[in-house]
Amino acid sequence: MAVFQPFDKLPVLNSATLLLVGSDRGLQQELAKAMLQEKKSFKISIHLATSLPLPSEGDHLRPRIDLIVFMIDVKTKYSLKNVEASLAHVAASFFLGKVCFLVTGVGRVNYCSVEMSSIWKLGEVYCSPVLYCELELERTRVATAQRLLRMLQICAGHVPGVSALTFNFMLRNSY
Amino acid sequence: MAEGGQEQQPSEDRERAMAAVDVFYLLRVRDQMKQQLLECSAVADADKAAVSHHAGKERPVQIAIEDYKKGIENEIVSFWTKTLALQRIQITAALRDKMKQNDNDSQLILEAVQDIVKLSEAIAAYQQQAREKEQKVADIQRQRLLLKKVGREKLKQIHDMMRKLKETQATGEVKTLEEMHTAYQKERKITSIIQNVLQCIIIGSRVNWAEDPSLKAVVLQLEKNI
Amino acid sequence: GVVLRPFLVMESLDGAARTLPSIGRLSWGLPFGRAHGRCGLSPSGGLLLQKNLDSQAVAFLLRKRWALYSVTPLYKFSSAHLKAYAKLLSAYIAAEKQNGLAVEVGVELDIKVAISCLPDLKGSEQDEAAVLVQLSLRPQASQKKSEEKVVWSGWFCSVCGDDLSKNMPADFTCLPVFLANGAESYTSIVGSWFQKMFDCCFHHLAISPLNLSWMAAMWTGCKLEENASAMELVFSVPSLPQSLDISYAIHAEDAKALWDTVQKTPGEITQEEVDVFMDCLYSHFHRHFKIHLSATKLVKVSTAVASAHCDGIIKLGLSRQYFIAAFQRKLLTLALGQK
Repeated sequence: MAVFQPFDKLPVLNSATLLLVGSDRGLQQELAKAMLQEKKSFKISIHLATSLPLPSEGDHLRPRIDLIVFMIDVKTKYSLKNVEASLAHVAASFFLGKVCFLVTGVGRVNYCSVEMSSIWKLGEVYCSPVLYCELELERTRVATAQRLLRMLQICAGHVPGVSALTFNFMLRNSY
Repeated sequence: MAEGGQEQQPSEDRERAMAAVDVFYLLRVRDQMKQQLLECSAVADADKAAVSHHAGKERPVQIAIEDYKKGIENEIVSFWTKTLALQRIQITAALRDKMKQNDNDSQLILEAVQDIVKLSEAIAAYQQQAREKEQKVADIQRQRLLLKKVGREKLKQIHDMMRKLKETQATGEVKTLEEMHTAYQKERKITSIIQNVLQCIIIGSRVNWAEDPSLKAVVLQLEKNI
Repeated sequence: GVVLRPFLVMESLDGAARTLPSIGRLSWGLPFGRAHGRCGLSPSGGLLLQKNLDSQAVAFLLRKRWALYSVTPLYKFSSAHLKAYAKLLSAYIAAEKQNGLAVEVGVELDIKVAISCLPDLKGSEQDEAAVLVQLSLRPQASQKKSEEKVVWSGWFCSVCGDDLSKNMPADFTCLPVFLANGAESYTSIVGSWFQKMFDCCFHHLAISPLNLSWMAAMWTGCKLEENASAMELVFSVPSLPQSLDISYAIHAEDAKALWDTVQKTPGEITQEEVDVFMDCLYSHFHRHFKIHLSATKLVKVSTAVASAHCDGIIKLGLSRQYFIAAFQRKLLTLALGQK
């Protein structure tokens, strides 16, 4: 069982890496596209995965991962189960601010197949922020992309004086 | 499990980035690196602190105190031996002076000294005898020890023999068990493959298996994991 | 746990005078774990209802497709004036039919409106009595003998909303669930009349897959009659070029046996139990067809007791004995949780 470590590799100059984990590839790609279209002052690479662990063959080629985003679609229970299974492969130190849960499909209560409380519980147990959005709407998708980019910037250590842990703490306290 | 990396920085973009390398860019990158260094060192410190949490500073002091105590004791002992030696030298010097006077007293002292010499010789002879006897006792003890050792080795050899005998018996059983297990696993795999194939055939044939009771029984049977 | 107790809703009602605020989260429940997410299946109210249901008065409610609506509290509604309301409503309908031309109240019209109370449909003593609205075509003068034909019917109800009626400000009547059967045009006319008359608001009430699975579990747990029809779950597969529906039928006895092993305390349903029940069904399906049903959307649940569609259409089953309070309470919570 390969476990990820947040600090086992050195950062690359002026670049950041995001890992998107989710069962819906279409939504993942839409979000990744939106993030790439944003204007930004640093290089980013986005890795898409349907589940963890990542194959160990590519381990040496993979840059340091600064932020893991787990995508949960409230319309399918499978996405939640998939995320829950993947979480076991992430090292504990990642949860010091380098993980966030992205819940999509919010606002479609009538299509809801997932209990919201189990999602809150997930955020609470893993000490990580839960972001709610609707990726199928253009505007919220763009806003979410901007938000994630900003988080990524902080998690990659590009913002002097703010570490991922500080940010995580502030975010969780503001709920 | 599939993972797709997307490296996006078109070449023209990169050129523009190269052109944009100015003082501000460098300052920004310097700040980034400082922040990253800070984070990494924080993590490293945290790890180190976790490892050497219990090691205190009191130990070296205690060790030094012990060392000094030992030194003081040694000094005291050497002081005493030196005083004793000095006293002996003083006494012999006094005796020698007395004997040089050659009077009645010195005659007595000479006799006493001669007696002492004789007695000392006798003591030395007895000591020699005692040493020889001790030597003999030690020899005997050594021989006994040797015998004991040999005996123990023999016992060990016997034990080893016994164990080897038992092992050879046991490995035979284990081997057969292992063979049986591998055969069992192989059969299990084959059966599950056959099950899946059969299931797929039934599903693929688009027969409504729920209608035929015997076919339904077969299909429901296939669900069971062996 | 899904919170089914209306008191949680009530807390937010205190300050709100006219319309129920959007309290979508309440229907999903705040707390976790068994202790909170419970629904009593047969509190005293349920028993009361079952006892009364033997009367013929409510027999017509069964075996019909009902579209669900949620309704905000009615302002200055009084069950003493039902006859006057009926006259006004029939005049309004006639006026609508004539494109807004005024019509004299009290004259004999094509469509007869009857508004009546259904005192039997009560979960507890504190509940407001259900209100039934029926539209029927008046027989032509030439054929006097023919019976009046009911073309549309709808009813408001509130079951086991004790705290609801207690905390309601004066002049308000809380009947949060509205069920309609008949042509859509009548529904909209009647709805708009109620809206104007009592300053309330109707919303279409859709049922989310999560709640559908709740209902599936709840109905499975009901006592079976001989030869009960099979339980059927319909799933739709999202994000495919052409729509694909999966129908999954389970023998009623088998489903009941499974539910009995899952349910820990009889008379109570927790979210965990529902999850386990559905997961068992899904994994059985996955073994045979290698399809993850949890990745699809549950669209319809139908059992011998009742059936429900995610678009908010329910059909009450063949046996009236299971016209249970818990089901209505569930609807009540849904209605209150609706935006």
